Amino acid sequence: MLDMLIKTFTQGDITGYKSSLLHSSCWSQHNTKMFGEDKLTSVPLNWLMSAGRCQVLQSLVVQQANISVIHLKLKTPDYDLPINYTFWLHNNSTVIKSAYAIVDTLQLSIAKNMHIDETTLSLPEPDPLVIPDYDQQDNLQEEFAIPSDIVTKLCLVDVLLDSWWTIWSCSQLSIIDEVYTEQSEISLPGSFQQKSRSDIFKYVLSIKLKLSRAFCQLEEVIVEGNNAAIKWFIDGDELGQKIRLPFITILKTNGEQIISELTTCDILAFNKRYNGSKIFEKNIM
Amino acid sequence: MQQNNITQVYWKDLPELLLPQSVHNQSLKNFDSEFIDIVDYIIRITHRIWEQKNIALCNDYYAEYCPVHTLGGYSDDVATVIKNTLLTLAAFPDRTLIGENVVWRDLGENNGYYSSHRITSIMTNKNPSEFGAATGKTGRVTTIADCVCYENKIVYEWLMRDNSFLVKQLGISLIDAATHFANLPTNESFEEWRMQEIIRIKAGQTSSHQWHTPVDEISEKFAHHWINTLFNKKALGEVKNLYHKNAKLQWPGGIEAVGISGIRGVFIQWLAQSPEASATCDHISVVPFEDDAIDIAIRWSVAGTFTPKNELFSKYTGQCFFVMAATHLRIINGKISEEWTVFDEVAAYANIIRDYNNSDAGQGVT
Repeated sequence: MLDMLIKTFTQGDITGYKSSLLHSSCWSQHNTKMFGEDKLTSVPLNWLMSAGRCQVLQSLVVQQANISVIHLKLKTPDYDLPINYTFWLHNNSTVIKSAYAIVDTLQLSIAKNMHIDETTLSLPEPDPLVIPDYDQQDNLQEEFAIPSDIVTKLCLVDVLLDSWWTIWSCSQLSIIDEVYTEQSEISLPGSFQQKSRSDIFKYVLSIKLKLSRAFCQLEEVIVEGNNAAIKWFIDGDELGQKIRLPFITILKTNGEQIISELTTCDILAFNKRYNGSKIFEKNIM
Repeated sequence: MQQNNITQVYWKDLPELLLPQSVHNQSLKNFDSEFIDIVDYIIRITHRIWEQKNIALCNDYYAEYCPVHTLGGYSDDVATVIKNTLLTLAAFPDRTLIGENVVWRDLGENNGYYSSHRITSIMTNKNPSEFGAATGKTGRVTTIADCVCYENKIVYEWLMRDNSFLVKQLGISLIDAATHFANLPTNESFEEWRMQEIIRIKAGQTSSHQWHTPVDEISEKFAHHWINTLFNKKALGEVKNLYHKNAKLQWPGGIEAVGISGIRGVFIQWLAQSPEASATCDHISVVPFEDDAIDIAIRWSVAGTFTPKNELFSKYTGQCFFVMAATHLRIINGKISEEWTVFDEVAAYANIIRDYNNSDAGQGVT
């Protein structure tokens, strides 16, 4: 799957890409779910149009059963800044049944020196999404998913993952220094600089304080050795509307602490869906 | 549980599905010998009619008398099936049907098979449709077609399509689409069926379409429990016992939820538009999925009194609220991991609007 993605998204090997897809495959990206040959072929073509023939600076794979999570750090031909592109693939090692991908479109826009409005305009219309209101409090019911509820195999890092999750789900900021090593390499959405654990502290606050009734939900968690990939989102109320902010996080650990974190989020697709949102105002200015 | 060697579509590509290599998996009495099982039959005839545009094949694969129920209309002759297929293809010429799953049940030698076929369609609105003028936009929509298949023909069909999700993608508001639809002519048979269904559902009576072949007992109990607990008792605390903590749910109009709180919110918000409504479980099919899951297809109905939350619908308060729906549940370790529920919200609201327009209230009489 890694080779296929690299050939497709850096060289334009559309034949190889198509042979990895079923008639019933779907591809979700930029808050749009696409089916059918025409739409699915447009995914790499639009990427190549936006980014050009990129060079792979770094790749990372986390694999468990039928899920492959692949991260590519890509560099466009004429510019030096990297772009994060993360793929969550449900596959049987021959074909992809469904792909959920997050491009860091803010990085793309900055790396290509394009105005963010131009990049945003080039993104597809988001699918209609209705998030019915709900009670975001647990009310002592223990109903909220934590990573160890979801990881389907025995693993050594479930306690660490549960601790990491409390940073987001419970705003348990004081645990950051226990969970991350001092030299942790952290990559956050929309930013090119290597971040530290104190940046995580600020990042969590910067998002959560812009939302009321914020709620974090795990969708899927996979673990391979000491590494994990987590698909999750934040729901919350912002300016009177309910918003959903999806993320993929890949964690590399030494078994006891996180040594690197890579979190991707499609900021411009989020802003296209929620025109007027202030969550990423500071990142964009 | 029914036999495990029947075609499963999940990992199969279309060429493989169209040229099945295995031997006959089911008796398929008086079906064409080319079909190896009911899933193969459904997938291939759907492809031939819709994607190959062989609309005339409806004459071969639909009985001359074939009742087709949707929430927006009724027909019972193959000529109408052909006409409606043609009209849909004219409005959406590139309509592609992607078979996502077929959950089926053997109804016995003298009754054929029941198939609940979940389909994703991609289509571009190039010409006027039942929702109004052409928009030129491409949309996707989930449909669940429940069919009784007997001796190589579909002899009965219940068709549920998530039209509210489609119209939103086409840039049409739900109320505009419903109002447009309400102004289209309806027919007496449809209204008669709708009224009978509303009376039946409110009385909690089972549908007359029942068969006696066994369904996996645990799954059958689960399906009834799901309907009664959530829709009738409104015991929404039970969501945690029915769904996994990261279960995913897709409901009409773009409603998506993950996890217990979100899923509970979907039910609370939806049930609140007709709080005293009753629901009936009208049909259940069960098949295994891969090694560790079970797929349950439930056709169900709800009837009650409309108490809208949306201001735009407020004048329709007190009208009859009726929904015919289909749900596919994927069960892992006794709980739901994924749910797809489909019904036609546009038609449901159109029926309410039409009832209001036809009533004294609509004419301003108090």
